[in-house]
Amino acid sequence: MVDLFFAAVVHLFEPHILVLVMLGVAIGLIFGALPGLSATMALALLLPVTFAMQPDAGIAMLVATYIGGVSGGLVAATLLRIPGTPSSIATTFDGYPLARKGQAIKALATGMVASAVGGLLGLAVLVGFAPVVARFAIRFGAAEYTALTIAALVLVVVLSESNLLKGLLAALLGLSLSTVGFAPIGAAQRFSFGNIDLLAGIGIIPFMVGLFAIAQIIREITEPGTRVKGKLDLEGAGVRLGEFLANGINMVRSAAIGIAIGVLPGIGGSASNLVAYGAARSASRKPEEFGKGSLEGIYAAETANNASVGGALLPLLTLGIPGDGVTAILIGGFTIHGLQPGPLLFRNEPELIATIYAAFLLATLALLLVQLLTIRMFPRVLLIPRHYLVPVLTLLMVVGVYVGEYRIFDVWLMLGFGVVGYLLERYGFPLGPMVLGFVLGTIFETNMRRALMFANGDWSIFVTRPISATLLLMAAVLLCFSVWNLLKARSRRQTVS
Amino acid sequence: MTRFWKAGLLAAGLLMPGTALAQVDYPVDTVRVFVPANPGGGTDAGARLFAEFFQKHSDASIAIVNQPAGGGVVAAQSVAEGASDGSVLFFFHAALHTANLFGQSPFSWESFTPLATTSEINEVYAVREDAPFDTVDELIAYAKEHPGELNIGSQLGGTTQVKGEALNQAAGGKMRIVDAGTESDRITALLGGQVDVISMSVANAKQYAEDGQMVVLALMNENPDPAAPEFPTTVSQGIDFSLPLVMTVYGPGEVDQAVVDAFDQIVAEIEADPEFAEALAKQSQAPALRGPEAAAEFLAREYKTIAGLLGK
Repeated sequence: MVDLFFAAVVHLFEPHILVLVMLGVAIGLIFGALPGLSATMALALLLPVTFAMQPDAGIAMLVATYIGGVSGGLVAATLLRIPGTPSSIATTFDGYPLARKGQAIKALATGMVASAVGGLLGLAVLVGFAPVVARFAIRFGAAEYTALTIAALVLVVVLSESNLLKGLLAALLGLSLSTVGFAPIGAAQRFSFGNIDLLAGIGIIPFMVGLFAIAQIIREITEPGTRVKGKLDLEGAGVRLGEFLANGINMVRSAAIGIAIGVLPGIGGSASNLVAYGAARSASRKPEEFGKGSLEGIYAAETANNASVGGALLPLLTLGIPGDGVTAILIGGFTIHGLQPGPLLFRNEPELIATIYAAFLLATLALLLVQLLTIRMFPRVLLIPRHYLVPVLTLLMVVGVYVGEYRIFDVWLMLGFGVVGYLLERYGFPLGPMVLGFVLGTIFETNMRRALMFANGDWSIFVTRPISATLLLMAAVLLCFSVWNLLKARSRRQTVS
Repeated sequence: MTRFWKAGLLAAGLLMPGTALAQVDYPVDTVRVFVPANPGGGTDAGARLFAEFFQKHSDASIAIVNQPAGGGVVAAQSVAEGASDGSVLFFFHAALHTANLFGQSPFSWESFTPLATTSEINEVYAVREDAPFDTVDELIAYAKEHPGELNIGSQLGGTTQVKGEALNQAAGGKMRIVDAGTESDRITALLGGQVDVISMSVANAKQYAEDGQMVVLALMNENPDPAAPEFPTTVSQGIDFSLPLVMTVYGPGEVDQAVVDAFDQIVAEIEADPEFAEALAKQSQAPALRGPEAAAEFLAREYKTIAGLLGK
C-alpha cells in the first residue's frame, strides 16, 4: 500500500487537481468556520458539482472539503469563542483566552500546526494499518460502546473541569436533553407534549449553535469589555520550535485518542477533542494554566480532532461503514464516482484507495498552506465594532440553522438554548460535558438497550466482555479517585476553618 | 467572505438544470420534493435521480429538501397539508407504513395522494460465512432445533423489523428479533458475531458475499435481481413474500387533477428513457415505474402485506 500511495501522490500532482483540492479545502474551511453551517452542508453542496469531474479529481475534492470542514472550526473558536463544529469545542477553552491576551496569531498558528500534525498522524495509521485496525473495530459491540460512552463522559467531567459536581450535573442535563423525541429503539414518545416538532427530537446544530454562539452573542451585548483592548499584536510571534517539540508527547497522545475514537462509527470528532483535552490537562505539569490560554490545551484539542478524520475514514474505506453524517455523504459521493466502499475495495481497487490517501495528504498540506496564508486576515475580526459584528453573526446563525432542515422550529430552539447556555455559564456550569452528554446520550441508550437485547436481558454482559469491563473499571476508578479528592479537600477546608 | 459567495454562485450555476427535450407541461414551475432522509443514502439517491429525470421530461425544476428528523414525520407534516397545485411532493418508501403501524407517525399513505413509484432497492437475508446454515431451509431447521438462540438483527420500528418478522414467522417464531440499527450497524453486528441473520441491500451483500465474509440466504423478491442473479429468491425457497424497498412519490392529501394527469405522462416518458435504468443501476437500484393509479393499487397491497406480517 505504501508504494501505491506515493505513486498516487505523484499522480495527483497535476495543476487542475491541486486547484480543486485548494478550492475544496477553502470551501470546507468557510463552512466549518461559520456557526450553523457544517462540513456536511459543504459536501452536500459540492457533491453534484463533482459529478462532472474525473473520478480522481472529484474524490480528491470531496476529501479536501471534508478535511477543510473539520478544521474550519478553529478560527471562530479561537477568535470569537464560537466553535463552528462540535470538534472544536475544546479549542475555545484555551484558544480564546490566548487570543484575548492579544496573541491571536500565536493561538491560530498553534492550532493550525497541531491540525496538520493530527491529520498526518491519522493518515499514517490509515495507510499503514487500516485492515488490521478495522478488524479490531468490528469487535466493538453494543456492550463496548455502552462502556465507552460512560468512560468518555466520566473522563471529561473528571479531568477537564474544576468543579466535579457542576460538571456531572451538566453532563446529566445533556443526557436528559438527548432523550427528547422518539426513543431510538421502539416508538415511545418522550417529552414531546404532543408536538410534532419536538417528536423529532433536538437537533445537534440548533443545540450547539445556541449553547455556544448565541450565548456568546448575549455576552457580547450584555457584558461590557469582553473585546480585546488596545493594540492587537498582529505581528506577534507564531509557533516556536521549542514549544512544538515540548508538545510532542502531548500531540502523539492526543492523536492516538483522536484516531481511536474516530475509528468507532458514531462517536467521532465531537468526543475526541474533549477527551484529549482532559487527558492533556491531567498529564500536564501546569494544569492550572488550562482554560487561561494554555498552548498544551490547543495542541491537544486540534491534534485530536484532525486525527479523528483518519480514524473515521478507516471503517469507511475498509468496511463501507460511515461513522457520521459527513462520511455518509462522502460514501454517496464515492458511489457516484463508481467506487463502492466495502470489503472488496481494498482487494480489487487498491489504486483508488491510494488515490484517496494521496488526496488526504495533499488536502492536509493545502489546508496548512491556505490557513497560514490567510492567518493575518482573521484576527482583524476582533477589531470590528460589535454593533457590526453581532447582527451579522446572528443573521448567519439563523440562516445556517434554518437551512439545516428547513425548519423555523430549529431557529427558536437555537435562541432558547442561547439563553440556557448563557445562564449555565454564568453560574459556573461547564458546557463541554453537557454537549458530550447530549451527543453520547443517544449512542449510550441505543447500545445499552441493544446489548441487553442481545444478552436476553442479562446485565452481566457489561462485565463479562473484557473490553467493556476494562472501560467500566477505568471509569469507576476515576470517579472514586476524584470523589475522594473532593472529600479530602473539603475536610481540609473544615479543619482550617 | 467573498470566496464563500463565489463558491455558492459557482455551485448554483453548475446545479442549474440543463435545457430539456420533449417536455410535459407541469402545472407549476418549481417543485419542492421533501425527502425524509439524509443526503447520501439510498432514499436520497433515488429522489435525486427521479428529480433529474423529472426535470428532463417536464418543464418544471425540482429542489430536493432533506428533512430526516423524526424518522419522516416532520417531512410528512410539511407535505400532507401542502398546496394542491403539485408544488410540494413527498418522496419515501414502506417506512411510511411501518412508522404509522408502530404509532410513530399519524400519517399513513392515505394521508397523501400517490403519484408514482420510481425505483426499488432489493434486500437480502445474509448470515456469516461460518454459520451452520447456507439456505433458508437449513436456517429454519436450525432455528427449530435451537429455539430462542438465533438473533435476527433489524431496526426496530423500521421496515427491516417487518423483514425480520417475515423470516421468523417462516421459522415458527423460534428466533429472536433484536435491534441492531441501520444497515451499517447491522453489518458490523453480524460480522462481530452479535447477531446471526440480518437484512441488507443487494449492493452491500454482493461485496461481502464475494469477499467470503457472508453467505446470502435469500433475496426478498419474486424475481431475481438483475444485478445479482446468483442470489436465490425467497419465493423460490418456499417463503411466499416479496418486499423490495419501493420508492414512492406522493402529493398532499388534496391534489389537482392536472397534476395527476401530468404525472401520468411524465412517468410514461421516463419509462421510455433507457438512461433512467442505466443511472439507477449505478446506485444499485432498479426501475419500478408506476403512474398514479397503479401506484395507489401497489401501495394498498404493500400496506396490507406489512400490516399482516406485523399482526395489525
